[in-house]
Amino acid sequence: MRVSVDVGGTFTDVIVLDEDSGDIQLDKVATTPANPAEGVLQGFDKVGAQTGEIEYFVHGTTLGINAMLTRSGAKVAFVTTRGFRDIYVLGRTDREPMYDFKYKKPKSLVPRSLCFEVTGRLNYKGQVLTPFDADQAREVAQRIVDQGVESVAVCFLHSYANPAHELAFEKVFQEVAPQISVTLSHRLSRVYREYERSSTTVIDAYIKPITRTYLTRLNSELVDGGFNGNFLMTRSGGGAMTLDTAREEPAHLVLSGPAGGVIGGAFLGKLIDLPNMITVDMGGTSLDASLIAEGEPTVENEQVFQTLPISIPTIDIHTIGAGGGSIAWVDEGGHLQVGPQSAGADPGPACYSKGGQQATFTDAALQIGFLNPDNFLGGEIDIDPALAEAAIDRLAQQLGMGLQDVAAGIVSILEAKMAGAVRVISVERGYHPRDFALCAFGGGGAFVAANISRELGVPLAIIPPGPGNFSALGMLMVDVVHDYARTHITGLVDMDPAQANQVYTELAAQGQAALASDGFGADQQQYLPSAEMRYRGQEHTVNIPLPGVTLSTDDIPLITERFHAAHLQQYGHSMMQDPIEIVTLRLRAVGLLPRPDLARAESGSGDLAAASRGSRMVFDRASGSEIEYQVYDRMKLGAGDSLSGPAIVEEPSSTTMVHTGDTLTVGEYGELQIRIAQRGDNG
Amino acid sequence: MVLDPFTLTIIQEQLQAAADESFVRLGRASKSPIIYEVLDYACALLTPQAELIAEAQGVPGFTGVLPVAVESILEKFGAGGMREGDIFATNDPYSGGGTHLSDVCLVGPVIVDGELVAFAANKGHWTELGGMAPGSWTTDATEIYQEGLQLPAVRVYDAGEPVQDIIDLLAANVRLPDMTLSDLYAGVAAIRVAEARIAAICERHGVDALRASIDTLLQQGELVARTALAKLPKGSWEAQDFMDDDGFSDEKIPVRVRITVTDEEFIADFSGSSPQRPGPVNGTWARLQSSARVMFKSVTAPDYPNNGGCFRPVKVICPPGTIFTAQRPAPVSTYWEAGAAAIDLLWQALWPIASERLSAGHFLSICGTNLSGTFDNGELFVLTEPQAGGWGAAPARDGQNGLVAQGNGETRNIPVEVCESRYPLLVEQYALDITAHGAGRWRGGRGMVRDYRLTGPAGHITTTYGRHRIAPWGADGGQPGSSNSASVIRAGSTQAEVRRGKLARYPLCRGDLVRIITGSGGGRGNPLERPPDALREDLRAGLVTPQQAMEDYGLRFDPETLELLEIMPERREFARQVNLEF
Repeated sequence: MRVSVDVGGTFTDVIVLDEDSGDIQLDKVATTPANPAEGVLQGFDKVGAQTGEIEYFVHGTTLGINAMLTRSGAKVAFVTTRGFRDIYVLGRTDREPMYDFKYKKPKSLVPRSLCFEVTGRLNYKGQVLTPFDADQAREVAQRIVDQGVESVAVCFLHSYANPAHELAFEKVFQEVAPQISVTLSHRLSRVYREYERSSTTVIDAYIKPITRTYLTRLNSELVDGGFNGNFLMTRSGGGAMTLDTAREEPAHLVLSGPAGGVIGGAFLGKLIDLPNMITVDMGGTSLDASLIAEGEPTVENEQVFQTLPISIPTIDIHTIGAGGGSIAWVDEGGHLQVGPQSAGADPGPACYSKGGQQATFTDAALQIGFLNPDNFLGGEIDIDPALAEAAIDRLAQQLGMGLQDVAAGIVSILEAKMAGAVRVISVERGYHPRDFALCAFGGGGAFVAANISRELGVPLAIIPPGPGNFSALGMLMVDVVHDYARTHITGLVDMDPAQANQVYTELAAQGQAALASDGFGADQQQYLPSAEMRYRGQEHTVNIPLPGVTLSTDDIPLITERFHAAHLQQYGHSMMQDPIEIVTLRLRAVGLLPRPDLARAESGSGDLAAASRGSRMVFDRASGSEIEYQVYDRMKLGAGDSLSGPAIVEEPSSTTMVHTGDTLTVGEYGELQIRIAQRGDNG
Repeated sequence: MVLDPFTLTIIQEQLQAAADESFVRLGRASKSPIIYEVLDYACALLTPQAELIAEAQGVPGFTGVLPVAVESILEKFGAGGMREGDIFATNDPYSGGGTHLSDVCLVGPVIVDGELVAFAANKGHWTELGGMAPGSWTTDATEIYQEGLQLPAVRVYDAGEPVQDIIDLLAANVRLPDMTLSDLYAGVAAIRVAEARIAAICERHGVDALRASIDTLLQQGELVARTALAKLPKGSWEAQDFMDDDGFSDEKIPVRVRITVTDEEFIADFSGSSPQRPGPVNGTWARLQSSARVMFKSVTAPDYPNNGGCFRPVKVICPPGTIFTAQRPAPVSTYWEAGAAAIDLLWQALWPIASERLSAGHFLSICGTNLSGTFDNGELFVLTEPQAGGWGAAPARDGQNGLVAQGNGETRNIPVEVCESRYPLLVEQYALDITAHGAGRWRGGRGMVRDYRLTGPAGHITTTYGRHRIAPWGADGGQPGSSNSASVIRAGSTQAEVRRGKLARYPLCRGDLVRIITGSGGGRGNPLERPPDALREDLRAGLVTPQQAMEDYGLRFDPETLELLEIMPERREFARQVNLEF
């Protein structure tokens, strides 16, 4: 049995997969913020998971990013090279809101009073210019202990080229205070740019104590309940890591939650032969968009979370403030806007009757008839449509427009914004949406899938089974992954393959050791080398897969060709005459887990009458009149069943819209496949 | 044509997205650190009449300057003289370019079904454009002919094809042709993206919808500006100040402004400011106008996206031939000094009516730094970067430490590790500079110290740091900040051989050290009112020395335990007068 649990801000989603039958059970319980482990165990009970029978337990959590957002992590000290005490607190010295002449930088995770310096200097080749001063390090360690610090982040200049001084500091520090955890920058990132690497290190140190406490507690409660399987955590960069690695390198947990959905999308795509997939996860507050090309999620080697950079590989997930709770408002110019502020879960949309006064996307969708007031979370939430109407009416009066027009406008504006978010991760990265299917999930994804797809020219939208729990489902499909990288600047044509191979020998040895300690045999290990490359003189790089971990000069033409092609694809041009440089060598070490099978859906009868729930009138903005939508119960549709829009398909956690001209077919795994009528085809 | 308002909103968002995408595309294709690290460039979409539709930009210094470039192209070629795929270049400071020769504007007409529907334009600081100094700016030029190659609105792409003669001419006149041409190609790529996105909008919604959307966008911008203007008090406010010098004489340069706010207009009149000077600190008209727009925006609607409508109430008055409105052939390569002076003048004049939206005086100067030289193999390198410094105290908050100046925005420092990998330089320290300045009830933020040691055989340092002679201003009883400077300390010595605001290609040998110091910002309110707890935090963080705590704040602490030992008589007396607790 495999179990996955996705702990989000509001709900904890649980999925149980019986590997023999392929059957899945899914459910949600409320997240218990004070002790998230409690919610996890409640979830187990609710789905009836027997702890002793679980072979794999895969877990994703927003614990780390929440600690960053609310600045509630550990008391961290930052240690760096003498002369550079301020590099972390200073950041890159930019002023993003550039017309704000009273701008204040976001609060740093470490105050200046806890930033320390130690003598010892390397150059960019890793050669020692000034030796490390161990006595000084000992004094600094003592001062750190005296300040009551819980966690230490160490980043010395050029440690990506030579980690000796960081290792020397760790040794000294452990002699002084073995009980305090230390994060060394080079263990997380062997890539240059001291601020970004320092920030990565600080993030890790900042969330380490809280993550360790949580994971240790959860694990011991599971073990007490008879758990004897493998405990895995989903990683920001894709795949999973073992409990032990997660305790050591929690920086990889920052996108642990949303990564699950993307992994699930990649898995489902392979299963139904749609390896190019855009994933859209729409919740109450935000929308996450990501892109899977040829079966692999796209990964960025540097990301910024809440103004804090993190330079480790991370799935390219673009998040915007657009969700069911997004608030509609009138701007200074007198025009209707929607989001990014959200009413969240509390008070939530006006129709939730929890005191929300402002009209939200959900209120608007209810008002024009898209949503069924009796089907919110399968009827678990009481809805008052009159409150939605009153909230929208206030806006309508402010704008001097009709109630229905404003409600329909709110839906259109937010859908356009979401299409914009998808454009960022597709068109702006050089991918054409017509070559992709759009897989939509989360509470609201199915609702907006068809219109987002149409706006971008995506031909097919996919609504997976259990869209409300899909991130948790994705977590069941992981492999164990370790990423390694080393800055290694060399011209491509005049490269010495022996030097690169030496780097790869070291990286592969690290990978083998890590996978062996995770319990993977040689036949369960896979190594994926790639290089970040650029035209000489550029700074931005393109990541290019390499043919193997042992390179020869014969490989250079192939690598060159791949680089030019990738540069053209991503940036719209290539410079065939210009010399190419390798900047960073990367290696992904993968421990392959047995891949579970999903159960196929039962075949449908072809007769939709049994699934029919009648029809609803829905206001149509284009014509200004109401259109009749047929309503169906998804639970009563079977594989092969097919229907045409205008129709609405309801299930407990989600509502799927099939608009005029669109056609829906239920796929063999129960996924809904909506063929999108392109503009000009129809309506 | 009447369109539903939501479609208009949706098209407007797509226009902004097109400008933003051009910006990303340009940055990623460039080979110049001043573009991809420092983001010294802007991308915009404009109407066929050269009004700004949307812009994406890294620096406020380029706010609304692209319309001037497009106007100059329109004037020369006329809408009828343009073909699909054409791209024009201008860097003429007195007309089209509006700043200095290094900033090259590229303009592409967007033609859909034979009709001109918009312009896509960008302006970037190209690292090298020839002239007397590597990097194409210096503090000792006396006429524009020394400052680089002039591109007086020329066609560089003809119906989609590069004009090879112009490109050859460009390559032959610059020191780093590979870098310069990559800047050109990056700009072209950005224009092509914008063209494609606008064409897609027209295909999806129609040209009429695009036009209607743009019209309402500009009206909306104007409405926002007028609404904000109505909230400002009406009347006139003046400020006078000095710029340090022009690099040739020590004479301070007097500048002044009179702001008049009426129901209809925000008028900034710079009449009475110094005539243009022999050195290159002169600015030109477009940048002066931009300065007024930036300050208007900062005190009205700083977060509202820019379009032509937003600036309709702003009117700038200044006769030709002043330090702000220099005429050919005045040198202008460090034009940002005049631009900064104009901003700071407006800032001081606005203080009585908008101090809740502003900080006290900051280090102000972009602190342009140009370190050039050779590698051991003889190859040339040019490092151009602005510096971060201390900001003045904000309303009820201490000033920010180490942020880029007013003219810079999303402008990032060059990482030490990148710098040392790319150039024969060793950065020996990069830290806050803790001086005895900027005291106040709310403190000024701290400036920076950055040391560069030359490890290559030979080089030159050029700097233009205003606010070297005259420190950033304090407000409401706060003390002034400290000044900006660049020093050279020879190999083996610890004493500075020279310490100035402006250096022009000052020669360096292997092992010499350049020390860059930027100022602390001005304080706000009487330092004697700063609470002891706040000061204790300052001491703990090392942002104030025990000495300054005693002298400026009247509190003596134990430097080890941070225990308050003594309240100095001056502070006691002050507290007694104003009836304040210590």
